[in-house]
Amino acid sequence: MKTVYIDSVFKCHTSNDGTMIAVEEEFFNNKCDIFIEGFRLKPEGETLVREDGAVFSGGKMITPWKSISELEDAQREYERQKLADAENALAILLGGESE
Amino acid sequence: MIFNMTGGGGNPLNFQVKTYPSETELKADNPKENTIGVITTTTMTSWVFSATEPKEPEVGMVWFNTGNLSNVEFNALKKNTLQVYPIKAKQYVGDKFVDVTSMTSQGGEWHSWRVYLYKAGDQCNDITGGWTAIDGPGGTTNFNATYINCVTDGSNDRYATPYTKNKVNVTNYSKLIAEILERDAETNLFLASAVTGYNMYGSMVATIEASDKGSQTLELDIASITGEYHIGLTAYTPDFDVMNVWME
Repeated sequence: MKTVYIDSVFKCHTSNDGTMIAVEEEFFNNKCDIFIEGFRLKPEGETLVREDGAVFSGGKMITPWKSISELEDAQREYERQKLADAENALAILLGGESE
Repeated sequence: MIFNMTGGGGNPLNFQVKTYPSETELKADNPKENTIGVITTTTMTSWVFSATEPKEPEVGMVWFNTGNLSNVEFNALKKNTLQVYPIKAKQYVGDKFVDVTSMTSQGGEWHSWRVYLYKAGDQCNDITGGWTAIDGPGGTTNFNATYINCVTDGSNDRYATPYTKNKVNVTNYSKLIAEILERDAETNLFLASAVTGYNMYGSMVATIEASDKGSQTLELDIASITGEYHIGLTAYTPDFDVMNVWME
């Protein structure tokens, strides 16, 4: 499970400034920092008041507060880079074995 | 289609726009057919129907965002030549558009502006393409006459996930809402780019969990989500019913 930190308005962070609450959340497994930090995680029983005044209460809610298309682009780039890094590592490994 | 009126009478229009300071006052009124009621305490200086945000709004302007589906569609002209599909209302306050609540009086009743994705047995095929399900061996989704029912026999891989066959365009909507009856586990209402069963964290973009048991309304914030996604519900050890699902 990925540990994220939520602030007073339930925005997610990847590091704690000392005021945040740590939450373990499977939703953010294998997600890059940019993706994570574009989301809110409202715990069960808490109430979120959106900037336009809409109120969300009830159970645990995970939803983006930044444009999802930007977050998805960042996540795709992260996954592409991870794959490239893995392929490079494999090439080096195989190149080492062949020597 | 852009419509811009600043009031005035006389009139080929088949509707009217009125403002009310509260929902209580709106519902106490009994106006004529196709009255659009806007709940606001900010003076409405003008109104416009448009599929895109007006570029040079004046303070107080009410923008009725239009789409191609609406539960309160109406003919704007008395000669029935201009069908309008309002989906959302916003008012220019300060320096930006903010959501305001609108309802339309039709058939002697006030109707909230919603796009239904499932309504008491109606799968709303025009927008959803119908509903389907991915169930584990221990879970079952039943599409009953008036509700969706998800149950388990307690065996392994006991999940049930009913969802829309089509991806639904959620742009311009700020809430996804489901009315359910929760009897056991935490049912999740979700949006996902792909539906694969139960754990969809690779493709899910938003979710809200039911709290406690009993009848409840799940309201998921989708204001920052644009584009098309499958909409559905899922639970491990499912025991829930779905009565209505809509966007507003």
